[in-house]
Amino acid sequence: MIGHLDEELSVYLDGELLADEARKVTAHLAGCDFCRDSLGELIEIRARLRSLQMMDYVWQPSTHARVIPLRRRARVVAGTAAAAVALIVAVAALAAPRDVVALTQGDFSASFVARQTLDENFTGRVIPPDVLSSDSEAG
Amino acid sequence: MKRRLLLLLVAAVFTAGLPLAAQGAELSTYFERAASAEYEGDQVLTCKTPVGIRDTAAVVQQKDGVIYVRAGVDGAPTISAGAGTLAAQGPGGSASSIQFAAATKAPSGYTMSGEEQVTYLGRLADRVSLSIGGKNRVRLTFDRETGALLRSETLNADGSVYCTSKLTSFTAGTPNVASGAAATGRKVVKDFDFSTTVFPAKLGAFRRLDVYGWNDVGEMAYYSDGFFAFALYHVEARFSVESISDAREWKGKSGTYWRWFLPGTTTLVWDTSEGGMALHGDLPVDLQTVVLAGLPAPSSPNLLSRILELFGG
Repeated sequence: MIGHLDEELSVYLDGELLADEARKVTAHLAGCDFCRDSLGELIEIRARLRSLQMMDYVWQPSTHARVIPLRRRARVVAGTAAAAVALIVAVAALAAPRDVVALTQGDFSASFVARQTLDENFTGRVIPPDVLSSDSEAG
Repeated sequence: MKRRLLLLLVAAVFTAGLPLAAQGAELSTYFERAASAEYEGDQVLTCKTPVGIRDTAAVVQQKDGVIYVRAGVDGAPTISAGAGTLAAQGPGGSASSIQFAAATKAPSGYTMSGEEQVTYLGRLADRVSLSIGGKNRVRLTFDRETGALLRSETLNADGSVYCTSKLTSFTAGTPNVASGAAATGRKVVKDFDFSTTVFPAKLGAFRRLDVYGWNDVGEMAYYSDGFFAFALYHVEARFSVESISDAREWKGKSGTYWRWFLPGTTTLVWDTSEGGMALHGDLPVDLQTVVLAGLPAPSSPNLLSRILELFGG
């Protein structure tokens, strides 16, 4: 086993490791002061938790509840912060109202009629009166 | 000798009584004759839209292959158009009419599906029907003597009349047209750097003919099936229809649009995930539905935007 134990310690304490994996952790702890200290901290934290007075409401602890080591917690905090920033950026982008283009009827008609009169098969149906309105600004 | 003359006379009368098409004329002949006709008259346009009748009137003159249209109301602003330019002129402006070249070509893609002799405004006339996709879509009435287009009707899918444009008075001969100034103002300028993904090359029987920059805010693509035409508009923003009093919400198959009708044209506006879009053209309602089915569907602004807008954001 290379390096120090991390999540494995919590699972090890929970008794959730397979026998083979548990033997490897035990063997590693025998030769690693750092990991033994980490394990001791975990045991102490759990003891403190157990000593806390129960609240009035009923709390059903998860069978998979674990105490997360400090180093991992730092990573979680950093990840959460990054996710929060990304979320804020995404929300800002989504929530930013689109630019609004306010147009008059003449804006549509003028360009359409200008193009339609180029057609060689435009039979000269009466031009809609909206393009006769003052909305169609002269150039 | 007398018998020969009699036969020639009978043949001439018989031939004159037949529609041009029955005399071997093609659809293009009608259009070529109509383009060279000279006349003046009052023209009325009436459309039966889903929200009621929309109509308007104008004074029309045709001379030297150019059609001049002016509003029949004294003092009303008038416009001039031609060669891709359209400009409005106030009552004191030099131009007094809109003018454009008379149609010289038969609508490509359409076939003449029927012709009959009729009388219109007391004149002998030929009425021809044009069809596309197995449906009659257009009826045109041409004056037998001058070739002038007296009346045109566009039809819905069920054969009922959608719009009728007709001369209610007609005087054959060279009209005395006002000399209009050269048209200046709005120009349609081709845009060669456009997004083809927004403007499909084909929508039903309609082909995208060209794309233009539009009002410095977006792009406009022009579509035609040879007779009917519409423009599609796209902006990377949202359209506001607040200034258009006739705009009403309309639920289509793909979502909700803003829609309004004017004599001869319909406009639809909607938001999409790709920006604001609008359709403006002379399509009957069923063809509008066909075209909309090939375009991005309306998509409402996201929930947060709606909440922000609700609170004035």
